[in-house]
Amino acid sequence: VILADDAVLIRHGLARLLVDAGVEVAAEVSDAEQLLAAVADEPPDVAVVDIRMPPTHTDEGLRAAREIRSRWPTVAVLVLSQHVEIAYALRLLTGQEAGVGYLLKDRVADVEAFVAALERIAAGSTVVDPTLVAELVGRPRVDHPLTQLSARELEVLALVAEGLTDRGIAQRLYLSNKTVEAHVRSIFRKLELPAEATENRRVHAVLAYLRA
Amino acid sequence: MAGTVERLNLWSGGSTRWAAAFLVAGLTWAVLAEAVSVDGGEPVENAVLDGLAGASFTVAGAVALLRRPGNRIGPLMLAVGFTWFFGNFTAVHSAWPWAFAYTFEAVSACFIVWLILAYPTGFLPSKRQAGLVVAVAVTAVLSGILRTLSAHFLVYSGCTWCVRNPVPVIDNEGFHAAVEDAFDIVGAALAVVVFATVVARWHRATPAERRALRALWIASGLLALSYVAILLDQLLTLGANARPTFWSQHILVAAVPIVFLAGLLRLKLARGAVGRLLLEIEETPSHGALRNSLAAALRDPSIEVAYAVDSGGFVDADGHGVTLPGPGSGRAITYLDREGGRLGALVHDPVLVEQPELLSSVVAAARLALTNERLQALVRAQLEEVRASRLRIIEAADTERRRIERNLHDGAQQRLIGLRIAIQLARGRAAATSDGSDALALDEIDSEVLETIEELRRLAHGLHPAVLEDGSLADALDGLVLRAGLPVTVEATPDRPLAASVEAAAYYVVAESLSNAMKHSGATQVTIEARCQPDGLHVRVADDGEGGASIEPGGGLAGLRDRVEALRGQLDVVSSPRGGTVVHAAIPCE
Repeated sequence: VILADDAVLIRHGLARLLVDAGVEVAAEVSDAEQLLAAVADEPPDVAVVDIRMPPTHTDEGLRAAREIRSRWPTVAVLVLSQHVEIAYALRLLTGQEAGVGYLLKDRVADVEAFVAALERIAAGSTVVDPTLVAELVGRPRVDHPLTQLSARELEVLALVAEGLTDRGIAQRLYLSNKTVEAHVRSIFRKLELPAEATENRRVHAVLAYLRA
Repeated sequence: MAGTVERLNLWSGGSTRWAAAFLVAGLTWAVLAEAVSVDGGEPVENAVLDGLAGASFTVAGAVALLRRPGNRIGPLMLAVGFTWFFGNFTAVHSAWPWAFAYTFEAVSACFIVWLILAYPTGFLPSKRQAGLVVAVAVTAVLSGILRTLSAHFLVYSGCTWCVRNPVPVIDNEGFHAAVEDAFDIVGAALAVVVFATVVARWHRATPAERRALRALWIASGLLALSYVAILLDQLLTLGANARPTFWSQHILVAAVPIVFLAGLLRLKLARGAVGRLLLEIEETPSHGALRNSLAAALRDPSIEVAYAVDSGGFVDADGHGVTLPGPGSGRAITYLDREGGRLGALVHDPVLVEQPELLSSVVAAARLALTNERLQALVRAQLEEVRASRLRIIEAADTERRRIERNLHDGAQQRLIGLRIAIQLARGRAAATSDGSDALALDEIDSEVLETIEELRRLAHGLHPAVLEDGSLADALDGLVLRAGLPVTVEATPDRPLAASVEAAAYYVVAESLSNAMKHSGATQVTIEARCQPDGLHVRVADDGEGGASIEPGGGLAGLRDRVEALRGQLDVVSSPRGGTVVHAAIPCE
């Protein structure tokens, strides 16, 4: 992976954590320009990008992420943010088939989960931060099909939105694959989402649906 | 009260006597001159026409002197009427009067040029034009002197009663003819320059000036035609008497002073508008109407009224600061002064300077209304200042919130994340080296740090949402809706980016209304609308709660109203037990 963050302490620490966990850190950079140069130099599996970087400290990371995805489609991008903002996540996801992720920055300290997320993204999945998904799912609504979902189905839906496969969800919830598949079919039916959707499409579909 | 309009008071009793004296003297002079001509062999018809043309200037000049005593056009026309007849005296049987008349025959042309160039004040507007008048005068006098000095010893040979030239300096007929020809050519060239100057002035003139100076354009046209008639008269020698060109030339010239006089009197007639102005002011004391009434009374649609503020400088009727145009801007300024200070200024078309009476009458009539409107303008200016300072305070607070939010994110939060990473690294080592109790302790510390981070994030977000900075209003509202503890429907959001301050205000209106709906109203759902309309952004937040919301000093809604009003907007709250609470804000987008 390539790490891009202007906070040196965090970048170094994260690099050490990742190396300890067996992830190869190819380069560490501190702004979007260096990031693009490093990716051009030797395209990594995943670029981990802080959303706020010099010069304006607003959304450089997001823009760099989109540029990487369009110029090097094989490079997955994980954007780290300090905000639980649906707008940022959607901006990142819009137009992306796969291989992107939006996580809260403090996730980096949960090494195992973080590495797992990296691997999912590298494998072409879409990952959205659970906090954000929880907010989306937990948001109160009236006359919304979501209210018809059972508690378990909501739980499964949240994990779908996080980009987990049925198998991954089964593992997380200690359920059989068959049960999860049944839940997912039920959810998609209740929400009138296309059931045959592929892994990443279904993340998008779910997010778009939840946002509505 | 106005500095430039004091000439109004020159209505002195003396001018009537002077006008009468000039009239009698001028007409006597005309009769005398034409008698001399007839005596010298001129047909009576011709003499009458010539006399009429000259006397027309005299009569118009006397009337102008009477009716517009401060104006120099009257004296100029009298001067034309007087010099017009110089040429007639070449027919006298006396050497020196003949020499005088023969020399200064063309002087009247100088005054006619002066009259044209200086209408309607009688003052030449620029050095260039003064130079033109001097050039005409020099040409007329110089050629007059040369032709006299070179006139044949006997004015015409073979005549029995002709006078002798008293100054026969150059006895050369060829030279004399050359002087005459040269005078004709230079004279024609100067005439062209004069008419070109008039045309250029018309071209430059504002519409108001063109209207006001209509007499000048007509008179110049008449003179140009008469000049053409003179040229034709010289080309077509149709016979001695009653040639159409001769007739028309004189009638055209005779009409010129009448046109000028009519123009002068018409300028004065505009005073009638003052009465109407007084009535209008009585009837329509409304805001901004005064300017329109003044524009109508002064016939200057471009007029602007500026009110003096005590700190120096000027404001318009709305209380917005204005800068008076400087020299060269093509605008004229009349300051309105009163005892103890300046009331304001009128910025108007320069042509009004030529109508001091009108200007001063209008200003006098409107003084009370002007004073009133100035007071209102000052109050508005103060309100505007208060509003601007309120906006500055809010913007300063926003900037500070943004700064704190940044510092929390980029400082404390980053450090805490770094701390978590350090804890994880230490935990990895602890797990490898000790029995696991250290690792457990580190896990506990880690979860504490994690909670702190989350608390900080919520705190920072409440201060100032970052997405408002780098996203759209719709994005920021999405976030609010997401975090709202009750169902929210967003019906509309703006389709284009708005000014940051407007978006921030809209965001806080929604945020505060949502939080009120959640905390106090017992509402079960909320509807949000943010629409761009021609008059600005309309934000409406409606809940179905039990109402009871009101704008109270120091409350959240009062803060919102301050924010919205600082942007020249308006905030209304309608709250009833049945209808729930509706917060509506309209914020101009510019």
